[in-house]
Amino acid sequence: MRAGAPRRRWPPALKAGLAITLAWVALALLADVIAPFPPNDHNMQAILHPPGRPHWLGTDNFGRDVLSRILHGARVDLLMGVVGVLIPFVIGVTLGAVAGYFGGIVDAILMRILDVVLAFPWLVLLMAIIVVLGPGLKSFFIALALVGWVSYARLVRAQVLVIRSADYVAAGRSLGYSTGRILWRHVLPNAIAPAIVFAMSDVVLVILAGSAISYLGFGVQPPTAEWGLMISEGQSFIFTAWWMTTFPGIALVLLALGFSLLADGLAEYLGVRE
Amino acid sequence: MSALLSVSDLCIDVTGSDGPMRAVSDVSFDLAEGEVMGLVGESGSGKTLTCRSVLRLLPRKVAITGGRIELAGHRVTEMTERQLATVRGPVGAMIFQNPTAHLNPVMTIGNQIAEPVRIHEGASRAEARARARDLLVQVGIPDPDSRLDQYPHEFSGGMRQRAMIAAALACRPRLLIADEPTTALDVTVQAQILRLLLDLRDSLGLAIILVTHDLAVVSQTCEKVAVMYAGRIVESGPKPAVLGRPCHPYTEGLVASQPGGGVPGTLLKAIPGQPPGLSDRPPGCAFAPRCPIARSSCESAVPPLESAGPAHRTACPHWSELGAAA
Repeated sequence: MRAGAPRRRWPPALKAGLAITLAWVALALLADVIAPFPPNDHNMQAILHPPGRPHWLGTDNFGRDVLSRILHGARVDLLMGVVGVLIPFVIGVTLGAVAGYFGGIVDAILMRILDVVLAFPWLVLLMAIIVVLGPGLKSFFIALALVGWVSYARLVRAQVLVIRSADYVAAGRSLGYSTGRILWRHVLPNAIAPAIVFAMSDVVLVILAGSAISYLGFGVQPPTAEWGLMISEGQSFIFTAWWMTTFPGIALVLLALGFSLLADGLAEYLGVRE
Repeated sequence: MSALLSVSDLCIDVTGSDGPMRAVSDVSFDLAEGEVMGLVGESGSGKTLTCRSVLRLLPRKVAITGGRIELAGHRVTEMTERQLATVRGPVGAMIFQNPTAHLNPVMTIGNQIAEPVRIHEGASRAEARARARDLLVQVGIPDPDSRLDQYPHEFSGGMRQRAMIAAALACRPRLLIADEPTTALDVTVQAQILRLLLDLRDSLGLAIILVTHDLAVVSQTCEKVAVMYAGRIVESGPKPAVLGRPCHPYTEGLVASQPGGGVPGTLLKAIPGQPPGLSDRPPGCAFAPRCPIARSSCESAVPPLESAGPAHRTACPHWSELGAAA
């Protein structure tokens, strides 16, 4: 390609994913402004109010506005997704890069630990750790850090194994670059794309896991507005007040869709094949 | 004139699945400031390993097992990795065959040229960028200001090679090792790059080791030639002597296989047979099985280098027979 080559076009999936995700972020940030009611305001005059004015998505068994709770819940769920992915991402990428680049005993030990973690079903291991640590968002993040890094480590290690013998790494050595500089400035930026793509789809898994764990009572505690918790609370009213479970469920699906599209679009844009 | 680079009795082993094998044996040569030496040989003759060992840039499982390398007063063979990092770049630098693969695809050209300056000279971002700009001008890249912020994929093959040369020269090295710098380029660009290397030699007093299998490239550029075969230097000396009056049957075969000498329309001369692999090198002269003047004594012991003229050395004891037969 010559100077002034056209910039790569954004794939439609990337645009759509970005739009949905950013919309959720905006809604979450503006929840205080746009939510019609405070999320934890009990209204005994409007218990299990069906969707309609003034409660557009209905109210729950305490008369709390479902729409307002979904908007405020977006904050918790986005936080869970982003922090819950960021911590394992940083740990996994670091360990994977070091293991892949240096190989030898470090690599062998790390890969055996990874095999052990991978041998357990992900969600089961996650819940086991949370139960041991005690319920709450903090335990959830710690458990994710302990369990989630393996995928990133494996992805980055595989890339680094290839890239460490790339010619531009040899060229870097021929100019006297230190090992650390070569690894962080030259190997990692070329190795990280699959991990970034996976992180986007991992956000979906983590939010779903967080909701599942809140649903089971080990995550976010009532009365905090969180989608998984809302679904769980609405379960006993599913035949009388379907809106209590349906709308948080739809919100969850929409957020997951946003991140999934983002992951697909990024994969296409960055040329990562899955 | 004291030598900038002195290599003596260099031996390099490659460790394969069945133990170490000698890839380069007893290679010695000297190079003075501003001198251009051609290192010629076929694939597998050890020329790339030899030149890479000068900066100790050998791949895993390849090790220097004997000999000494001294570069501008640094005993390269005895240095630690950390010490080597201070030599690579400011004293000796290297350019490679495939410029596309040797540039980091996700870093701008400007940053790649500026990086060594920042590391070795502690230059500020702005200083390093200014130097990178000057270097682009020096290696003949037009419109350097916009080129600095482009990525390697926006450069053509010849431009990439120029950019790589600029990065190699960023810390003003005294020795440039060029490992087949023009092989991946088309012929017109090839000539430009060789011209550029010679210009840089003249303006910077740069010594150059030019590794190639192309005798035409050597005859255009080098003052000295060393011919390698099966891990040994079989002939070395001033270019006019080595290429004009080869004193080793292998060199003679190489020269005879070049186009230009023969009758148009006839096949080029080829040397019959194949060079021996790493594991089946014969005990005597490695070229003996393919040699037109070999005799039984050639197969028993490795012939030592002997003088065939001023600074001209050959590993063939029967070199005096050569010119007569041709």
